Amino acid sequence: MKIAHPLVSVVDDDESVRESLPDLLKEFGFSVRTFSSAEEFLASDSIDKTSCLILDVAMPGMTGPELQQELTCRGLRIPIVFITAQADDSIRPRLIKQGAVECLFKPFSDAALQEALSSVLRAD
Amino acid sequence: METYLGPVLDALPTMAWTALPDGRVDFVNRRWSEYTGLFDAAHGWEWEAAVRPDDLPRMLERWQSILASGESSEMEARVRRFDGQYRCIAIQCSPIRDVAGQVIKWCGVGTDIEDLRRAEEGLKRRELDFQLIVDSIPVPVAVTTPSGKVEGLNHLTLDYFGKTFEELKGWKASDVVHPDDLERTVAAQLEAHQRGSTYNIESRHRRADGVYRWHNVHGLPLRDPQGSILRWLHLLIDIDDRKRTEEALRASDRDASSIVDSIPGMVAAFTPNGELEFVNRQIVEFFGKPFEELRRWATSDMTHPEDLPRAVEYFTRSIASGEPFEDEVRARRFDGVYRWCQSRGFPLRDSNGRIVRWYNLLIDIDERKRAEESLAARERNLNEIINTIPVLAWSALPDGTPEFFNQHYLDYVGLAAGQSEYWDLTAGIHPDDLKGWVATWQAILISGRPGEAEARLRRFDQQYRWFLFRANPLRDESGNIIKWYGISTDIDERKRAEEALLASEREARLIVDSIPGGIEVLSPTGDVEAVNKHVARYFGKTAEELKRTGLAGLIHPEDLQNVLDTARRSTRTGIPFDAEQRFLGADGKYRWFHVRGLPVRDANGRIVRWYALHIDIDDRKRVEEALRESERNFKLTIDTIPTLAWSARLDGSAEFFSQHYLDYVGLSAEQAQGWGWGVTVHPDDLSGLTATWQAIMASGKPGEAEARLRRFDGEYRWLLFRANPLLDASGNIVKWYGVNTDIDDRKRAETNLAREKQLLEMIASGSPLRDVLSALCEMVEEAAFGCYCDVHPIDWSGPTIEYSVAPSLPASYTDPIAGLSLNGDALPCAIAARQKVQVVAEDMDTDPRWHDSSVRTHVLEHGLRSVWSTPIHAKDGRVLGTLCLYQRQPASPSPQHQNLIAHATHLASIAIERSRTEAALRRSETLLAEGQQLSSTGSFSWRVDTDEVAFSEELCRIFEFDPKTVVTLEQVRARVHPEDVPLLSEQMARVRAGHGYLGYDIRLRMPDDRVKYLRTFGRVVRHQDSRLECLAAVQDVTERRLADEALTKARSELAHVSRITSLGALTASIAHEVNQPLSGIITNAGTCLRMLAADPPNMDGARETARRTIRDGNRAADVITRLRALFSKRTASIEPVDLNEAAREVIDLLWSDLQRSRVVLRTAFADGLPVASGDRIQLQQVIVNLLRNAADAMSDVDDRQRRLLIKTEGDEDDHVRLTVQDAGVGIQPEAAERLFEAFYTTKSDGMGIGLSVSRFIIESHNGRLWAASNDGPGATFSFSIPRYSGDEAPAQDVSAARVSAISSAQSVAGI
Repeated sequence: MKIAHPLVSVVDDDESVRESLPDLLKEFGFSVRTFSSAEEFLASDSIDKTSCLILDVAMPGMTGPELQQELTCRGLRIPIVFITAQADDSIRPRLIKQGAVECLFKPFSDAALQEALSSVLRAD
Repeated sequence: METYLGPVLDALPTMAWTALPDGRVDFVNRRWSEYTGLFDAAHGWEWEAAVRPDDLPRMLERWQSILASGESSEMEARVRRFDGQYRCIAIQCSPIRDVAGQVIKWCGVGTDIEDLRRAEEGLKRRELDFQLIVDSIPVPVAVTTPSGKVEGLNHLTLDYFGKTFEELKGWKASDVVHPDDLERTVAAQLEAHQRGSTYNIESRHRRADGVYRWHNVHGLPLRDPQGSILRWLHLLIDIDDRKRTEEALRASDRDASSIVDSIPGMVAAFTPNGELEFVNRQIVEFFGKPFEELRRWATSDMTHPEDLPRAVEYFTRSIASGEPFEDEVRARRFDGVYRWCQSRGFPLRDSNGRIVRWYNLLIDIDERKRAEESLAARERNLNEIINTIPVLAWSALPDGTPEFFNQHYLDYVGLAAGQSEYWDLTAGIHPDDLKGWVATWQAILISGRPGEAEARLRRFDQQYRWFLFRANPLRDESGNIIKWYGISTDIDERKRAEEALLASEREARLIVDSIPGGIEVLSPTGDVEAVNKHVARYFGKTAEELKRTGLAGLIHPEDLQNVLDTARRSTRTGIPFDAEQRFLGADGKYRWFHVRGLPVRDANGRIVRWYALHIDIDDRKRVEEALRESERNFKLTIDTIPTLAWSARLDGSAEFFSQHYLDYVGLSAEQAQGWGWGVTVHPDDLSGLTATWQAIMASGKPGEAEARLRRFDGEYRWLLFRANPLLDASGNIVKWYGVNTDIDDRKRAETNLAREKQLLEMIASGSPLRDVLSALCEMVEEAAFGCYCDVHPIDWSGPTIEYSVAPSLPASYTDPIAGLSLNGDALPCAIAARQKVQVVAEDMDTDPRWHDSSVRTHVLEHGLRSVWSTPIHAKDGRVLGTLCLYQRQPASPSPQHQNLIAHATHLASIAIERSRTEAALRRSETLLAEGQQLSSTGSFSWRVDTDEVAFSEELCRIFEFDPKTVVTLEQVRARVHPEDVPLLSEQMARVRAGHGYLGYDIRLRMPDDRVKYLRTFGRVVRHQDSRLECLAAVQDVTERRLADEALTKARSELAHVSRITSLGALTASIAHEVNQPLSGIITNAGTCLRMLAADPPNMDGARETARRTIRDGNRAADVITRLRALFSKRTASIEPVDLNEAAREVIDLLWSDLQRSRVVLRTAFADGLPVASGDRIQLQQVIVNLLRNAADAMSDVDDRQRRLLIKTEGDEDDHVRLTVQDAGVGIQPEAAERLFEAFYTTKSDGMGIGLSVSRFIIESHNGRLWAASNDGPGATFSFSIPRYSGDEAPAQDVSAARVSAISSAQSVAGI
C-alpha cells in the first residue's frame, strides 16, 4: 500500500535552494515539488495539492508576499513558510502578521525548518 | 401583324409601345428603351420600375380604367429617364381592334412633356405675379384676352361694379357702359384691337349704386417678346368730376349765347384782344353775312366808309385802354342800305377785374336820325330871322344840344354860316371857365327856367372876352320846352374891372406866399380860408381845393385825434394852437410839421381869424427817430451779442441789463434792477465785489473785479466785471457801462493749478497718502459742482479695497467699504478695478446691474444716486485704486467731468505710486543696511578726479574705521595687507584707465595682525560731465574663506560618509549574496548528515549533498572575493576598463535590490565598445551610485513601469560614455547642476553626497558627469571618460576621498 506523503512545494528563484531543499524535505518525509517563480507555481496543478508552501520573499516578477496575497484572494489557505536571504529583522513579524506560519532567514538550520513544518502539520 | 409591328414602331421617331388586352406590355420600341435606359426590363409589368413611385398607383388605376373603357385615352406620369431624372411623360393609348371590333392589342405613344409642364408652371407663377401687380394698380383694371374675354379684374374693379369676378367675367359692354357712349366705346375698342394699338376713350360706366360715372378708359396691349399680343389691359380712370365741370361750363356758355340771342339788339362779342368771338342771330340777319366775313368788319364795307376810320379808331383805343366806347355809325344792311346804328362797346370783366370779353351792342337808330334831320330842315327859316338880331343869339334843343347860332355869333367866333353844324355851345369857351359854365348850363336845363352864366368866349382873333350867357326856354301849348333861346352879351369891360380888383388881392397873397413857411388862414371856427403857396405846393392841391376839403383829411391818422383836440381847445379858448403832426404831402409821404396857430383879434378883441404857421420839422423828427432807433438798436445789439452787459447809475445801482445777462442769471429785468442783481453774487464774493465797485466809482476810472455769479441753473461761475464810465462832453460821468466775462474756466484752471500745486507739494513733501487723497477729493468736489469724491486704494494681495478716502461722505458710508473684497458683491469700484474700465451707474436706483445688490441699498441709503467709478492706473498699467464720483441725482459724466476725472486719477496715481514707492524705498533702504550688515558687505564710492572716498557704515566696520571719520585713500592703503598693496595700485590704475568693471580679492591687515579677506566688485561710472566715479561693493569673506578651508578639510571627511551610506546599503546586498550560498551549504550539510544518519546511510545522497555544499561554499567565496575587490584598500590604478563588463558586474551586485524596487532594467551595451581608461572599482562605484539613485527616483512611481536603461556607447573625442536613464520624478532644470553639490539632495533619507563624490571621481578620470531631463518622465545621468590608449600617466591619487572613506568606514565598523 502506498502512503500518501503530504506535498511541500518550494518556490525560490535561487537554484541552490531548489537543489538542496527537496532532499532535506524528503528526508523529513514529504513529497516535494519545486518552482523557480510564483507564476510557475500558480500555473501548476500542485496548487490544490500542496500542504505547505516554502516561499522565497524576494523574487523577480511576483514576490513571495504577493503570491501569498494572490492565494488568499483565491480562497486557498495554504500554510506558508517564508524563507529570505535578506537580513532584515523587521520583515518577519510583518509576514507572520499577514498569516505566514514562519519566516526563516537564510541560512537556516534543518531543525528550524522541521520545526516550522511540523507546526503546520500539527495544525493539520 | 405582330411580326411587322416591332420594326415599324422601332422606326418611329417617338416612344412607342404595345400591350396585350389585359394591359401587359409586350413591346417597347427602341426610343422608349433608350429613353428609360431599360432595355429588356420593360415588358409585362416591369415598366413600372421606371415610373415614379408616387405616380404609380394613380397611373395603374388610370391604365386599368382605360383598359376597361376600351377607348383611346391619355395618361400622364413621371418616368425616370436613363440619367435618373424623372420627367413628365404624356402617354396616348389607343386600342387596336380586329374586324369584329374586339380589342386585340393596345398601342401607346409617349411624349416628354416635362419642359411643357415647367413652362406652364413658370407661366402660372408669372400669372400670379401679374395678378398681384394688377391688384396693386390703384385704379380699376380689367384684363382681357386678345379676343376680348375677361381674364382678370382687380379688386377696385369689382368694388366699383359691385359684382363678383364670376358675374363680371361674362359681361358685355352694354351691361356697364352708358347707352349713349356704348357705340363709341365699342368702336374705339374694336379699332384698337384690330390695329393692336392703345386706345383712349371717355365713357360712362355704371357704378354699383346705379350712378354712371365718366371714365377715361385707357386700353393697352401686353405683348410677348415676339410682339404678339398676350392680353389687353384696360384702365378705368375716373374723370367724372372733370367731365361734370366741363359740362357745367358748356351749359353756362350755352345759356349765355341763348340770352344774347334773345336780346332785341345786335350783339357781337370780342375776345379781350379784339377778335370777333361770336355774334347773335340778329347781327347775322342784319348783315346777311356769314360769321367769317363778319370777323373782317374792320376792312369791309359793312361800316360806312365815312364812319369806318372813326369806328376802327374808337374800337382800337378801347381795346387798348379798356374804356368803353360809344359811337354812331352807318352799318350796311344785307340789302346794301346803310342804316345809322348806335354802337356801344363795353368790356366784361372777371372777378379779378381782368377783361374776359368785349361786347358790342348795335342799336338801329336810323329812324330817329332821319326824323332829326327833317326837323332841322324845317327850322332853317327861323334861324335866318334870328341871324338879323345884332347880338350873339343861338337856340338849342330841349336837351341843350345847340341847334342854331345867328350870324353875329358865327362872325364873332369866326365861323362861316355853314360851319356851325358841328359847333357846340361849349366850343370857344375858355378852358378855365368851361367846367363852371357847363355846370351852370346843365343846372339851367334841368331847372327848365331862364338862367345865365358867365364865361370867356374866344373871338375869331383868338381873343377871349367875357360874355354873359342868358338862356330862355320856349314852351309849347302844353308847357313842354321845345327849344332854348339864348343871347350872349359881351361883359368883358366889367369883368376886367373885377379882374383888377382880384389882382390886388393876389398881391396880398403873394406876400403871404413869400413867407418861407406854410401859412394857413383859418376862420374863427377853424375852417380853412386860405393857404399860401407853400402849403398848396406841399399838398399838391390848389388853395381852393384845400379850402373846400380842409386839412383834416391830410393829417396822419395817428396824429389826427390829438390835432383835433388841440384845435378844438384853441378855437374855444383862444389859446395859441401848438401841435406836432404829420401831413400827407403831394408825393404821398407824410412829413412832420410843427403847426403853430395864432389868433388875430379885432379892436374888440374878438378873434376874426387864425394864422397857422406850418414849420417843417420832419428832419428834426427823423433825427430824433433815428436816435430812438439807434437806442433800440443799441439795446438789440447788446441783447444780441453774447456778453453780459449792464449799465449803472451814478450811485452804482443797476439801470439796465442785457437780455443775455438776465438769461444768464435767470432774473427778470425788474428783479435785477437797482441792487437786485446782488442775490446772484456768491455770498463769499459779495462784500469784496461791492467794495471794489465803490472804489471804481470813486476813482471815476475804468475798473474790474472778479466774483462768482450764480447761473440760472444754480451753478456759480467766475465772472470778470469790467466797468467803464460814460462821460458827457464836459467830462462828467453820466453813467457806467459794464461787461461781465465768464472767466470760470480760467478761474477753475487757476484754482486747479493752485490745488494741484498744493497736492504735488503734499506728495513731494511726503505727506501721508490719506491727507493727499483727501485734498484731492476736495479739489475734485470744488471743481465738479454737486459731486462727492471718494478714492479707494486697492490692496491686490486680497484683493481688497485698502481703505476709502472721502472727506465729504459720512463714515457710515466709507467705513463698510474699507477692506471689502474686490471679488465680492460687485461694487462699481471693484468692477472698475478688476476690468480696468470706467464704470458709470447713472442712477443706482434703476440700474439693473445693481438691482439686487446690497451696494444699491448702501448708496441709496446715503442719498446718493449716480456713481461713476474710474480706475487709477499706475504708469505700468496696474490699477492702484479707484476714484469714485457721486451725485445726489441721476447723472452721467459730461466731458468736463471726464477731464476732471482723468486729471484727478492721474494725480491720485502719482500720489499712490509715490507713496508706495517711498514705502518700498524705505523698506529697501532698511533691507540694504541690514543686508550689508548681514552679508558683511560694505560699499564705497571713489571719485576718481578728486580721490574723495565715501565708505558705507558697514565698510567702516569691516575696515574697523571710526564711522565718524572721513576715510581717505591713505587710510585705505595703510590697511591693505602689504603683500596686496601692489594689487590695490594695479586695480586703481585700471579704474583710472576707465575700465568698466572691478572684481578682485584683497587682504587687509588689522593693527592686531588679524588678516581679513575681502572681495570687491565694482563698476566705474562715467558721469555726464565725464567725471569718473567708482562704485563698489566690498564683502568681508574672511569667514567664508576660513569656512572654505574648513570645508575642503571636511570634504574628505564627508566623502567617507558617502562610503558609509553606500556600505550601509551594500551590506544588505552583501548579506543577500552571501546568505544564498550559505543557505545552500547549511541545507546541504544538514541533509547530508541526515542521509548519513539514515539506516542504511544514503551514501549517494550524502555524497551529492556534500558536493553541492562544496560548490555553494565556493560561490560564497567568490562573493567575498568580489567584495574584497570592491573594498580592497588599494591605490587607484589606471587600467583598461570594459565598461560593459564593469556595468554588468554592478548590475549583478545590485540585482536583488533592483528587483525589490521593482525596477525593470534594460541594458543597451554597445558591441565592440572601446575600453575606457580608469580605475575599474571607482568607476563601478559611480555606476552603483547612478543605478541606486535611479531606483530611488522611481520609488514613488506607480502609474507606469519603473523602467531603467543602462547604455554604453562610444563618445566623441575618443571618449566612452555610459548613460543611466530612469523614468522617475525627474529633475528641475535649475537643479541639474546643484545635484552635484555636496549635501544637495532631493531624497528624504539621502545625505546628498553620492553625486558629488561621483563627479569628483569622474573628473579625476579627466571625464565629465552630467544630468539632463528626459523628454518624457525621469532624468538621464551620463558620464564620459577617455578611451584607454596605453600611454596614460601613472596612477594618480584620485582616490583620496575613497581611501579616506574606507578608512573611516573601517573606523566606524570598529566602533
